[in-house]
Amino acid sequence: MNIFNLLGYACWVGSAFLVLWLLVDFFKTNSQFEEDFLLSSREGHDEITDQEKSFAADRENKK
Amino acid sequence: MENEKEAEAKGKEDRISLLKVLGPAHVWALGVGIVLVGEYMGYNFSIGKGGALGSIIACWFIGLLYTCVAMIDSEVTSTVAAAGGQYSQAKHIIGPLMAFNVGLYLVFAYTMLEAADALVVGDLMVEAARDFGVANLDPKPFVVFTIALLAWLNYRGVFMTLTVNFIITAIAFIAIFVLFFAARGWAPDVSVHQAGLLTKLPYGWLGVIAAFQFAIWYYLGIEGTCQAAEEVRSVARSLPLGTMTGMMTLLIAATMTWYLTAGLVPWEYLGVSFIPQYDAARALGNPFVTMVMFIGTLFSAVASANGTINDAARAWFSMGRDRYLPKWFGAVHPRYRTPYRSILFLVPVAISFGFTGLLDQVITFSILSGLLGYTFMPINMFKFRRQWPLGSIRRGYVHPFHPFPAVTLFALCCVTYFATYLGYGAQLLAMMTFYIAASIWFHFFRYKYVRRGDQFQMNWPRPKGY
Repeated sequence: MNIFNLLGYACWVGSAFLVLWLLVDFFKTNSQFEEDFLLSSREGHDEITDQEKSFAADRENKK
Repeated sequence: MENEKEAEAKGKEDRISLLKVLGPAHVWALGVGIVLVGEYMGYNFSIGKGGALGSIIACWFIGLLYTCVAMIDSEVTSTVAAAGGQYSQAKHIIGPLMAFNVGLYLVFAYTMLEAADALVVGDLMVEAARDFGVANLDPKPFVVFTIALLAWLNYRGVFMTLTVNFIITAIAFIAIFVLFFAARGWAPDVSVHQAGLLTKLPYGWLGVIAAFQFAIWYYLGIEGTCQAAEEVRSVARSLPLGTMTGMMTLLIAATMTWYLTAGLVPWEYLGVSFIPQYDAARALGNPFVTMVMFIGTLFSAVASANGTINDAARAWFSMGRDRYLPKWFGAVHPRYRTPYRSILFLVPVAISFGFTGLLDQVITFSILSGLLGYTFMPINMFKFRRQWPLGSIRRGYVHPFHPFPAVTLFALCCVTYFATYLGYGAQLLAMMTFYIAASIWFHFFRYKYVRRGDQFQMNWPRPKGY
């Protein structure tokens, strides 16, 4: 047994752990949130522009 | 950490979206990160086809092709704040069938490249083990671990993913300069032999044309910067800046790589090597430089795989969101704000291609898919300028000399198809058959699920004439 073979085994163990973590989080997320919410993103939806619009509206209201 | 908190807070709102946290440096890291592995391997097969001189001719002509790609992409994407890059461009400017095809080109080009990068990591470990006297090391665990680790990183958030890419890409880029200084590249014939650079053309001008196919390796993937469009803070500023500086970086890196490796290693050997930079460092006989080039090769392959996972997932996600594929793929993670289903779905696909071990076939499929995508760009550019003339839509960048870049790009794509036909004619025909079959499937069986109005959400003015 040499360092490279040990490294190979470590990679198998590490990969198994990472894939397991991904799968657990994947199923947890799917079950915790509504499907409509998870699928609600839209192209070109710009939070920064939305924020600027809301700040501009606030400023208008204060006037 | 702050980004995660922000993401979680946003996740509690009614609508969810990808997180806008990226700047020009991340865009640079995404584009150059995907490509730089081509400066460490693959490009050298162009030397095998055209000799050292033929390779640099092909390198600069293909550099012109990619400069046109970067200019056209920068202009169009500076107006499209949507993930999916060229897929989103095609959807808005040309139509659904073109968009579906371009989306597929992107996913296959990047997923194949990801598999090829992971194979390189495995092969590199085998090579390192051999240098230490360990024969027959199995590369598979290294291939799987590379893909699993990078998929995990991508799943957990785009900011950290591309920050890591920036660091390892910068190290890989600096490693080329380390070789330059160690070889005293500025002093003729100390280490870099000038006679090795200006060789005769071994297969004449046809060999130079044939070299075009592998010269693509010097730049393949720079167009991937467009996939970050929905996650950059300022799409109009960051994308053109990151893409154009990335292209300049690659032109410098490609020329230096050719100069150093062709000057250090005879072209007959270099043209068939799988790890040319590493071999050039070994030819120099400096153990420190050999170690630096090993790290450079490893980091460039990892950075490339990291960027391709990011890009393939965004393209797949965008197609799902528009129902070009099952809508299920269009989900965003509420905490990490990433297209988590698409990222996870493409992991076994990449691993299965990686397990074939057929590096040259996988790379060829990736290059051809990329080339099909570049051929779409001139058509896209002509339609974009005609339907949305200058002044009708806010552009972050306007590329100069239109239509010459588009015409040049189209002409160079045609030459590269011919070059590919010379070396991989059967694969070219097989791939065209695949995309035609996929188009028929989309037209007859998938397009009925697409909601035509829903796919256009951006606040663009009506095109001229409509």
